Amino acid sequence: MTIGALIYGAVALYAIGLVLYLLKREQLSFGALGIGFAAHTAYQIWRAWLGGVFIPNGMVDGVFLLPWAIAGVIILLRLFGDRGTGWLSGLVPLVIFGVFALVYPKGMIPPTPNKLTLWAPTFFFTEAIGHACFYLGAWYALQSIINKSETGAFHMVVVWGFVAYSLSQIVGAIWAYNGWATTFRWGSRHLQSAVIWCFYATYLHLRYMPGWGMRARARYAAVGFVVVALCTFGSHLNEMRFPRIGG
Amino acid sequence: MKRIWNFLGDVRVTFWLLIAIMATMYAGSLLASIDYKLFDGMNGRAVQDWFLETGITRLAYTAWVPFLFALFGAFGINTVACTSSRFVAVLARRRSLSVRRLLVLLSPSLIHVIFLVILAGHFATFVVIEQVRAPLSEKGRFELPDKSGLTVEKIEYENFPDSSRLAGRVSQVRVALLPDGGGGERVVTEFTRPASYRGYDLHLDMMRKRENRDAPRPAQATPMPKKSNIDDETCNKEKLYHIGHFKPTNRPELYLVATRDPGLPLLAIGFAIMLSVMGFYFANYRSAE
Repeated sequence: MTIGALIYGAVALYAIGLVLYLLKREQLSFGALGIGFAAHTAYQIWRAWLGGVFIPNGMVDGVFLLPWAIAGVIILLRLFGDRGTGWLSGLVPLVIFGVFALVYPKGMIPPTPNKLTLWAPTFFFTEAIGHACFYLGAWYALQSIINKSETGAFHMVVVWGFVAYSLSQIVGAIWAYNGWATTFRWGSRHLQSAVIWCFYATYLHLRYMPGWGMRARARYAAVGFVVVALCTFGSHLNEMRFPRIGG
Repeated sequence: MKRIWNFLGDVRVTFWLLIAIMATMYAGSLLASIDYKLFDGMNGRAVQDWFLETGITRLAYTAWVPFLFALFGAFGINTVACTSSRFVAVLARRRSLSVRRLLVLLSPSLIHVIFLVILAGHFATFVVIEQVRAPLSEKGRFELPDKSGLTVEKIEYENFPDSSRLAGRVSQVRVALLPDGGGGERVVTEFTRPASYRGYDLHLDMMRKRENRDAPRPAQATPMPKKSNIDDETCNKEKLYHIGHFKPTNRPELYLVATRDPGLPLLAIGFAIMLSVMGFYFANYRSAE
């Protein structure tokens, strides 16, 4: 058994946490989430040595970093967010993305020299935080629609996601210029990143529009789940065919 | 006049413009994934030159590009109108507000102004960028658009350690260049650490072996694959750009890219101020309420 197996343990703990949450054992559920997150963190750090030499890019592969970021955001929300909001229901998308990580090729795509810069992991890290907040924001928005809640708890998650995602776009532009001599490349990856940014920029303007109350905004935020998935999973699925090392 | 101004700055116009921009960019992203090579030709070129030369011959694939620019133009006008109206409204209340509260209330408007600066920077990049790319070889000469030249003095390859799983793969390349006449200072450029010379940024890039059949190639370069191999549908994919030249047995073929991008200073200033204002806003907006 290697450290690489920790990802299986982490996802199993997330699943156990979800079952406990459904059984209304919130403290135990949070405990399972915390231990799973610790195991997942160890796995992410271990990934930096997938090439047999330390390369931080391995730690920030989106498919594996996304569930880690979701778990981290849920923990922060549970610790510092409003009480009684049901943050732990975020275990549902967490388990879904965790299972996807389990079936995904675990190795690292051999990095090209223009990816061996700290801008690259910084970009992927901030992007994953943004995606995590968007998915969770969409999930909590869906919950608020189902529960007919008017608290708008999802809004704060989406706003922080927008901040992290905007930061990733700035970092990504700097990296793109240093690595490829242009801040924006006319390709599907950059265009779809811009689509996500525009979607959430639109969301932020909804509160100033007549007829867009909390429930309407919740519906819009919930659609964000599909938008982010459509704009990111294409490249994840495409990269499944790439040669990889380690893992 | 006021009605027109109010319409131009209406947040509902913002909403629909953003929706249209999203839809256009998403459609464009799908087309770019179908024909990566077509759209890769836009990178590093003035978009109008690319469109008049290449885009116009494939309008079914490229019509979204001018449409996107038109939408962004309208979005820029909408942002100017909306932001200036809000600025005026907030400043009218300045006597009843503390300085901190006033700054917090002005921050979103300021972010919009900076966003316009960033948008202008991207626009300048897209329409005025000057970029040349040419292969590099030891002792070879590279000519910049202003006709000055650089001679390659030395190319140093750095590989991943032999003990690693990445053994034999290139991790960094260092290229030393001497200006024409030999009197100037040596210029050294590396991957992700571009050098500056006569107003140009000098980046390294690698040969996209299969796709760029028509690109100029050094005499000692490996022959390109036969046409039947490079034009099949699996070859025109992004992944070949990504990994095609990274087989351990196949040393990447180097290119030097000289770029003069007038949009870059606007972007750099815009990004720096945007981060500062966003940081100030989020640190203060609760306490100022």
